Amino acid sequence: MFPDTGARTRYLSLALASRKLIDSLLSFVESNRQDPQLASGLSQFATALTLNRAGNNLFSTPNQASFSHYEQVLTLQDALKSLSGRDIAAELSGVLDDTSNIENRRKNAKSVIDFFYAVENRALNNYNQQIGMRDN
Amino acid sequence: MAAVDEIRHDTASLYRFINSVCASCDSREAGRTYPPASDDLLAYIRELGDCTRLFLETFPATVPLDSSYNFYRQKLLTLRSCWFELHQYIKPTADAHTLSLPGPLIEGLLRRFRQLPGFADSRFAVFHIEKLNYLQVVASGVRAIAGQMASIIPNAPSFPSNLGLLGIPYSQGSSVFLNCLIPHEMAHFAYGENGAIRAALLPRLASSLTRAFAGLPPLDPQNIALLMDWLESWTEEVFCDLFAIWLVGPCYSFAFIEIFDLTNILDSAGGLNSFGTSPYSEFFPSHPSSLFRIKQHLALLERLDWWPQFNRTKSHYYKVLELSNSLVDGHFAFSKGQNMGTKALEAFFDVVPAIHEQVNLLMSSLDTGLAEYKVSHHAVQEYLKNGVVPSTIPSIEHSTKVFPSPVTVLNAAYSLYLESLDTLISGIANQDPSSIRDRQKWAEKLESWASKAIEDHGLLISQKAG
Repeated sequence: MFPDTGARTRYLSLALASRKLIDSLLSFVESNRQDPQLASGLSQFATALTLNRAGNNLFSTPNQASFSHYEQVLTLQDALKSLSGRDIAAELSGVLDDTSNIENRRKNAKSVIDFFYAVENRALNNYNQQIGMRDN
Repeated sequence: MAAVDEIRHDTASLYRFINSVCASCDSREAGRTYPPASDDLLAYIRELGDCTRLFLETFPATVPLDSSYNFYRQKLLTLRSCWFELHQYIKPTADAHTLSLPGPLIEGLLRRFRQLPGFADSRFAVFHIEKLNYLQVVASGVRAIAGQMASIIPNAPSFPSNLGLLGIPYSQGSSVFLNCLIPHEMAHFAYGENGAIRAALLPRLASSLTRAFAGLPPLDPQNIALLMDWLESWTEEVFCDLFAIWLVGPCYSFAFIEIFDLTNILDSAGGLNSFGTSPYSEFFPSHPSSLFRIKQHLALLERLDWWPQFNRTKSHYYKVLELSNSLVDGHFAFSKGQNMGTKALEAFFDVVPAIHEQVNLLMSSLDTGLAEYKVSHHAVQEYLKNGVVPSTIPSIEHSTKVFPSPVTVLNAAYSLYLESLDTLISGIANQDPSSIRDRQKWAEKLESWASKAIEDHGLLISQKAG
């Protein structure tokens, strides 16, 4: 019981954060309702993706950024790989850009749901491996 | 089966699963009582279950049968995984009734914990664990998960902010000495709740790693994450050890030495068995080496002036502490990640003084209990040697009474166990200090008298206050 709680809960936490955004983005796309926490949630992922691209010993974050644990970084990279050819960071910026017209933002929102779906999916798969539900 | 039927089936399946999980919140032994905070934890899970089920009742009707179907469907898997996580805590909490727990000790420790700034209303739900390792139980993750669940389930309650979780090995309910490790778990709660500690330490970790890797080729993002995770885990563990020592005194270190059997590092002459020492010098991804931790224990015990209270020649446990001081940084190793592991250690050693600083900042308003120990521990030990529970001790002039605190009782009893168990047994007819059975029997008696004294202390100070 309780094997490696840290890794397990990091996967589940990433899945839950992705789910929260999928729910909010679906609501935005389908009903034009904007969750007040949508922008901050998307910004967290945008920051995580920026750090994921960096290759210059960026240890100097003032406080550890969201989704920066090892298991979360691997999961995000895996999700990005599954959507290769897409510029997810640009799509996230497109949703966040409140100077853009609403239709463009909704288009970007619709597109970026794929990414959060992939992150949630992989994080849940990794979580279930940790608890022994996907042992081969 | 049509998609609409499939989603209805899958939703009902999850609903049934949550139903059964919530029902086990009520599967408690009749006639038993439970810590109030454990009742609160189970009530919280029940309420979260009610909200999840209410959400599921209407969920299938909200799922469109078009290209976005999977985006909705996967929420069921996320919720199911969350309930897998909660499921693990329910039976161990429901099993942990007060007779199976070191209740008076937990209460005594909690009274001290609540004296810390920001923790006056803290409480702990208690659950049984199967593994005999208090130091591996970090229950803060499930609190965070429950909090995030509330953001995706309409009207779901937030996890109570002042509710911590304590795991006690199921076999150790009546143990007093090994349960001196409990403050380490309380420290994990304090570390998680007090954001200022982490906020102060993380930039130190980052700058220390930057220095250690300066001039080396750039690292991949996953290696950067790995290094930060290693250092943060080690930092939190050392923080929790130091916190525990401040809360309860050197008995924490004695219990630490006992559970890891660290006296195995000694040779027959009481020196370091250098070949046998190396495994205890190795760091792990989630924990610093045992000997490195002991070295930090000693540093704090010296600074708090506890250490001069113990005569090194009287117990081999004290020798382990003393010998740890001879180990320099180069003695410790971390073999993961090849060269990266060595650099990680270099960065960590640089951060250790900052961990001590943070413990001082949080704990310095709490009386260590040393002054009372100095005055009372001889009397407490005399009582114990004579099989008397040291609940009330007349002062020297017999005009007042002293109710020895849990810190005094625990440290006096533990040092008596380490130094003078022979004397205690020799005073009892037909008992043999060289008999392992007799030693086991009288060590248990000693623990039960200490436990009773701690229980009485809670009653006596509440009467005095009333």
